Amino acid sequence: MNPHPLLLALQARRRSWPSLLALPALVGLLAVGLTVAAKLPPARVAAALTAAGVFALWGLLSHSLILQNRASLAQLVPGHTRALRRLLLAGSLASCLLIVLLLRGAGLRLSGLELALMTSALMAAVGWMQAVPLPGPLLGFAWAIGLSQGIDGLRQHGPLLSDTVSGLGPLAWGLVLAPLVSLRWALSAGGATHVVRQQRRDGIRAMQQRLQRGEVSLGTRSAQALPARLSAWEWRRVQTQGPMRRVAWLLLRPLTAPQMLLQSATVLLMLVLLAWLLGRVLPGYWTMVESELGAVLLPLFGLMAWLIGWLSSRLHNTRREQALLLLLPGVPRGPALARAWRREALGHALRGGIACIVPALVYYLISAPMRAPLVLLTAGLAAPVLLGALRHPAQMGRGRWVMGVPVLLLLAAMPGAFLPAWLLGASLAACGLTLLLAPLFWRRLAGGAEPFPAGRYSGNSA
Amino acid sequence: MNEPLVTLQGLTLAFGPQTVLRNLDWRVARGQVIGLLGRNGAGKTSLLEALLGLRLPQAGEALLFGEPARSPSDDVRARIGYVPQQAELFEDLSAPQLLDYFASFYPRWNGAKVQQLLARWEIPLTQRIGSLSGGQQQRLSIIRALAHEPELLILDEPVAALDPLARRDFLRELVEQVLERATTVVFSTHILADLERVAAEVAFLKDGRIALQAPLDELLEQTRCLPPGATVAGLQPLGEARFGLWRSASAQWPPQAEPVSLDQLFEALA
Repeated sequence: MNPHPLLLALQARRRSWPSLLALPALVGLLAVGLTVAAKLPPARVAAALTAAGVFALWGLLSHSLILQNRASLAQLVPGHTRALRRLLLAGSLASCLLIVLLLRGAGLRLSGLELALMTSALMAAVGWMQAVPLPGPLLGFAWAIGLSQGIDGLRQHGPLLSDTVSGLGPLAWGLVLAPLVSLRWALSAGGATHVVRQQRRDGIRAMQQRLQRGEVSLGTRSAQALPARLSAWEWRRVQTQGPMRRVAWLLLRPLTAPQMLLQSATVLLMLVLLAWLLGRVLPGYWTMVESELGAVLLPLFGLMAWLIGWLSSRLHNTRREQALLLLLPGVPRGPALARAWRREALGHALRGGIACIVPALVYYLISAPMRAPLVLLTAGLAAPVLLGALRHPAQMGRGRWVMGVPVLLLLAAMPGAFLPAWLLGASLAACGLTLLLAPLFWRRLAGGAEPFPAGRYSGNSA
Repeated sequence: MNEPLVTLQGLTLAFGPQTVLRNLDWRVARGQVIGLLGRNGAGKTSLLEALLGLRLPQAGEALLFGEPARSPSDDVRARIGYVPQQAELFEDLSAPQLLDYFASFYPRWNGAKVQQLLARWEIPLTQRIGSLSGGQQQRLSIIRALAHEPELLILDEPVAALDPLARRDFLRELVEQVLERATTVVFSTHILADLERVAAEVAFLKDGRIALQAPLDELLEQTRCLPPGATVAGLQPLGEARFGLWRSASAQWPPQAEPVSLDQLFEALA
């Protein structure tokens, strides 16, 4: 017998089973790791992480249903949106109850309000980054969990409150589940607003896919939308600069545009929230690290440095971009171009490094020197910025795997006290290798008479 | 009794400073087959989307089967078929899965016809839709739109991605649909030869308005092309005077008057 068409569609939308299986596997590994490393009660860790896994699956369901709710189908297929809304509500209800049961079963005492706000902020940030209107359903969902926890908390505050809560009976649970009704607004019912929202989402997804396929680099994409973004004052400023600076500024400037800054800030906020949530959920977590702020802040400086380095290394990344740059009037050729390129590269490296390492050092100086391991980790994360910026243009398309390394390092570093020796060793090695290789990179960059275009051997001839 | 299926009253649609439709009035009566013509950017897609309630006009109103297009009832939705310019299909499903999915929403679904069209148009049944060619996806989109036997069929450039054989087959299917079920069809296209095969009427969209709508045969029969400078007493030129087109059902045409083609009409009116 065929499954219900709606479920079939959901299942098929998520054809990538390995990625689905990877989620529970990751949660399981994390649970085992935390249990062993932090000597926490296994049942409690497992329950907390399973609850987080259920929450993530609920996020997948909501995300998938929102994508499935195409504007023209919502407008023209009878009952389409209604059916999707029913499924979202049922899935949310089941997930909500499961999470509450898991948390209670594990005996985790969380403030309902805290949990609601935390999960709302976290998933709203994810939703915003993916251009999916998750905040709507999220608020209802998180609020329902939060209220249920809150009611449970009230019971702990003396017999009077306990009696009052018990007296409310079904009404209390009604209050808990009422926010789930708001989920219906997460799925628009067609019309012009739905079309506009969908077009915006499709545009962002298409851009992400093109970026992933390497068809376009961040610089090119940003430059395409540039004329509309530049104010008259900015345009005059651009006109007065030399061609090389002008192009670099034009391409890099949108990366510092409000939406990019907002996205970066969102990533940082999410990481801070994640660390805080870990601290709330796992008792004893913070006692194992020296301070909450240091454990989170220092690696974040490193991540920021890496992000800036990665963005600047995407500049003039493709053969096509380099060819277009060469054809611009006023762009020098030969050794003059090599010199100009070297100046720009060093500028990016210094700006990225200074912007991140200086605050980290200041933080280190004003705090206890016991945080040296974290500072070392920060330096290890930030060091590749210099090498990335000094890479020869002919190598620009290579080494994408390196992008994932800092993120993995950071994830490993989040529970600060668990910094293993190998991680510190790797950071130390990264710093040493950077110091060793930077002069070589510099000489190679300086020695090349004609860095452009990358040509077919660049590994990125798009 | 013959209430129009589509009524647009004073429709004005703008995107920022650019006005695409200006105070547009239009009616589509039951059983009409209308080819919508216009230059690139004339607003054909916007008009079709506004007609379906997918665009919110700044002024005016769109009615479908007498109901506001912005919020059609399920009954009205079940009577409409729509093929958008870019097929909106779930790429991870196979063709049968997709059609099963949509079948569950419609009160009427002609499964036999679906099977017949899938076979005739050689749609791969096991491949995921995302891996089908653009033409195959477009054909699947057309099958989806025809399967619930709609009373009103809106087609936005339906043949753009099809090869000549597939185009001919699709047009044959469309004609059969019209003859069997008296389906009302509005479709936009740039391929004028196809329009001549199918459309009973043509509507020219220009400057945000329907500049002219008339039965195609009648229009071709009543229109003549005269040399520059020639005039016909009591008549106004059709479109811009420089194209030399004149229309009359009863005029005595001078000997140098020549019959016109749809290409010439398009040039003068669109």
